Amino acid sequence: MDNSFLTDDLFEKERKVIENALLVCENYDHENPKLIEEYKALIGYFVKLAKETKKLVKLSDHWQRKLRESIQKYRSVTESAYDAIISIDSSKKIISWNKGAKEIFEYNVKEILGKSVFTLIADKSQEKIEKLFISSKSQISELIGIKKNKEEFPFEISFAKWKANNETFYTGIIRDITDRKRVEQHKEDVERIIKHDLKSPLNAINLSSQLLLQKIKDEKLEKGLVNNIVTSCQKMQHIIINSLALFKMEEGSYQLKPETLNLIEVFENLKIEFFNLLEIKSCQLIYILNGDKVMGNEICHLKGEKFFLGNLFSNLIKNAIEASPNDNLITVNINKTNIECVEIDIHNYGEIPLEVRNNFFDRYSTSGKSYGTGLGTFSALLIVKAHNGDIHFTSSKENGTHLIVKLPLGEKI
Amino acid sequence: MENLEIQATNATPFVIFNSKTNILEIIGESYPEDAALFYNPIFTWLKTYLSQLTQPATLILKLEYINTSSSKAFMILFDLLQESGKQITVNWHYNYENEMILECGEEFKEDLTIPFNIIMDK
Repeated sequence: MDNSFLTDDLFEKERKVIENALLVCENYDHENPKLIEEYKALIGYFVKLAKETKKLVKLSDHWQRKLRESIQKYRSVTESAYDAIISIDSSKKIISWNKGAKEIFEYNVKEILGKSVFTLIADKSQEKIEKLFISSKSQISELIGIKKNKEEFPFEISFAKWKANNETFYTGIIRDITDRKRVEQHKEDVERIIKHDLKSPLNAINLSSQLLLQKIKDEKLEKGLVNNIVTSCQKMQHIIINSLALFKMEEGSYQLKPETLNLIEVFENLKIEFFNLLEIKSCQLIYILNGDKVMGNEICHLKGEKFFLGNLFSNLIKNAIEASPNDNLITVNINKTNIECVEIDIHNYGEIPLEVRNNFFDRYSTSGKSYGTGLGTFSALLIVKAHNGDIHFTSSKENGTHLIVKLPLGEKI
Repeated sequence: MENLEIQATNATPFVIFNSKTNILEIIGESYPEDAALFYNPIFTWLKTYLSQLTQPATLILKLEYINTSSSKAFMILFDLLQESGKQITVNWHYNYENEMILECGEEFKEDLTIPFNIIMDK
């Protein structure tokens, strides 16, 4: 019978008892050998039991060690955190409170343990925290807290629910966001001021150039230049007013306000914008509608937002001119592919660098332009999507770049 | 023979013993207040199953935590398998982050002669 596992340790006594019992059995000349066998079997069970007990003690020790490690880890995390980490039981009583919580709420642990968590929440946020308790998901929320000195402050809470021994517990990681809120408010104020302050000089430029335009009677070039100032001013005013629209488009909450417009007119209005750039690059820009060169008086109706479509094609055509090799042709091919949509193919002989192709429409994607924001193609994508359209490109050394925009025509006009 | 299926609770694992496919699985955590109450019906089913078993069978264990009394229950369970003399393989799974379950598996494996594979899950 192998009882060697019971040596030199806590089971020394058990080993001796078993060894003695075995010795007695072996030397006892009993008339009933069956009884001896039964004794031996009994001792065998004791050995097994002792072996199992030893194993269970070992496993139990392992788990306890692990539990201790885990408690130490939890304590070091909670105690070193700047955030408040607060746990409460199912009756919403506070059961754990770290240093960060003391810093933020100013209660020490003895004062607060066992108190209701609602002590820490301002009346206006009580309903919100009740919702967090009901929700089954872990979530982040902003609430108003109350410090020991009754001062109210905003905080952000990352809230989780957990269960142990059939009881529900809640843990919140709380960050005081007073400073962040102040900065956000300041930023908003600055933006509002800038928008407001920009409007006045822009209005002045706009008005002055319109007056100037009225004075110029014949000089075609001067009239063109002043016209350029007027449209640029109006565009800037639109940009300021609509600065939130792109953000909303990205969020998917933008409500398009489509109107019937002539796409050819949109392109005609843009022509003057590219005048200087085309001169510098010695390039030529032509528009083709359903195979025929556009003269300016053609009609291609669709429903959309004039300002954003103007902005879209202004960006895309400008990009095409910039990317084109000098002394080349840039073509804007407009085709009504069917009764439901129009396809606009903007072509130049430049090639999109390989490294930007995969994220061409991503925010901040730009290549080679020191002044590029990388928002042009990103906003183009947002505008096209807001119009339920599609945008893609093909690019190669041999064929140059085709940027293809598909736009639905909208309701039958 | 009917399959044995016991749904998991907070303190007991999910048990699905399929007598057709001969795949026996125990998945989850095991820390019942009364381990005998939970495991005795499993042992009873297993004894009948083993007495009728003619094909190879696999016991798959995917445990996250077992308390001391459940460990004792598993020792009984492994004894039943081993003493049956049937062709049974134990696959003891553990999550790569759960070294305690790995150690448990190693402890149990030590005393067994039936195939006992310790498998790391990611």
